[in-house]
Amino acid sequence: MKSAPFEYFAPNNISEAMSLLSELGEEASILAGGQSLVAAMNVRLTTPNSVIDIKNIKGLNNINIDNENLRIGALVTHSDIEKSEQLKSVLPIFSTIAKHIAHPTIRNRGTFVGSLAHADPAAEWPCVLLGMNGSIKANSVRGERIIKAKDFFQSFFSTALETDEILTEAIIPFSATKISWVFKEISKQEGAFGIVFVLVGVLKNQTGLVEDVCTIFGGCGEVPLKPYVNQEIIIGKIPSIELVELYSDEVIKSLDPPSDINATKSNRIQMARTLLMRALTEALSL
Amino acid sequence: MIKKQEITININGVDRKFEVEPRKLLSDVLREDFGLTGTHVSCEIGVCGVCTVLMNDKTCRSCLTFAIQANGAEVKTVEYFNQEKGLNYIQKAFHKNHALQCGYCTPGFLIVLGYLFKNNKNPNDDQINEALSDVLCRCTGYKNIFKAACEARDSLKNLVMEKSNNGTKN
Repeated sequence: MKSAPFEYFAPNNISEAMSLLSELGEEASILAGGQSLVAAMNVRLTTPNSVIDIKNIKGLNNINIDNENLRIGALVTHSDIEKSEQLKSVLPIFSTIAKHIAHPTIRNRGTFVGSLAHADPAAEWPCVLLGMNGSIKANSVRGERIIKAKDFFQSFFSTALETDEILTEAIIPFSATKISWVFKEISKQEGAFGIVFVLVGVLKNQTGLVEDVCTIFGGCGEVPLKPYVNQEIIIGKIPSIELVELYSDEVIKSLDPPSDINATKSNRIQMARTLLMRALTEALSL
Repeated sequence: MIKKQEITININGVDRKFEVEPRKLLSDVLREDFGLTGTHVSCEIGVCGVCTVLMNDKTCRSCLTFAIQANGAEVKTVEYFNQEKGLNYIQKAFHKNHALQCGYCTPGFLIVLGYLFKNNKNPNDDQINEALSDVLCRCTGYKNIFKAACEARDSLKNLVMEKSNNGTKN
């Protein structure tokens, strides 16, 4: 099968793109790397009347890091992230996670921000944005707005983005660089979509006690999940394997993952517990 | 009917100006409009890798790229290899190690390995495997393909050494 017909636009700047989108509305799709969109169009899962390719818009392919934020532009690819020395020096977890995304060729084209906009519950970057308390910048002719990750991801493949808005940038607070992050994933084979994955961030104080812990699961629901758990059981404690077990058991109680062709609910819960224990053990350097 | 648009793509070193319907995939343009049937098409959802080409010197799934997206870009297909005399060192290693049976996936493997070796003159086994994970083979299995890739790496090392030896002599 081939894509349904569509009109193609490749505006040279963001204001041109915004006016086009405001005119065309939900009939149009924004195209960056196209590694999900074109596949979906090829099988006619989606049939936009118009495609707005943002490849010619300058200033969207940068990674900028300052004392407050880390900003990833809408044309930055997974491979840019994987190879960015600048990013590796402050948040090496980004490179590690990038390697979990599909294969090198897909990573050459697919973008970080595109993955956020696509909001696949089996995608890694939405978990990262949520775990690191990040946000996204959306631009439209009506103006600019910043949406926090927790408000952005709403359900399977659906976000808080309005039909006239373009997601131009992802913003991660610089405070994320102070945290030790560990990422673990189970997939059928390397490069395949993750069945369950977990991102854990741990902060220890000067005396080695646990100061803060953050856990995000992917593949366990419609959106990335930050399970609610009484943090008192771990905060201020001395890291130990027993503590990891206790905390992991508590966290997975709040999970209610779906059963599907890849794994049953109980499989997923077991995978989530195992991955969380491995990740915490590593993050706490046990 | 959506109007065709005029675009220019440099294909295997030659600028090609032509009209294309926006929905036409780069893979179909290469095969149907330019007769470059070395680029194969199979899954058309970016999974199998047999349609992989180089776009601006980076590997790219030509089935996940509308030709119009490549406007102004440089595209190289497996036929680009044949602009050299005879088989290149990767093709020779495939030939010698029986790294193909039906050969349908071979163009994809040749492209991803060419890309790997261009950016890394001495990749380790893990890096070779990572590159090979990009393309699916459904008949020989990967053992001989891996063997061929390792042999290609070794012959590349010799080539690089020869070149630098010659360089010092001169």
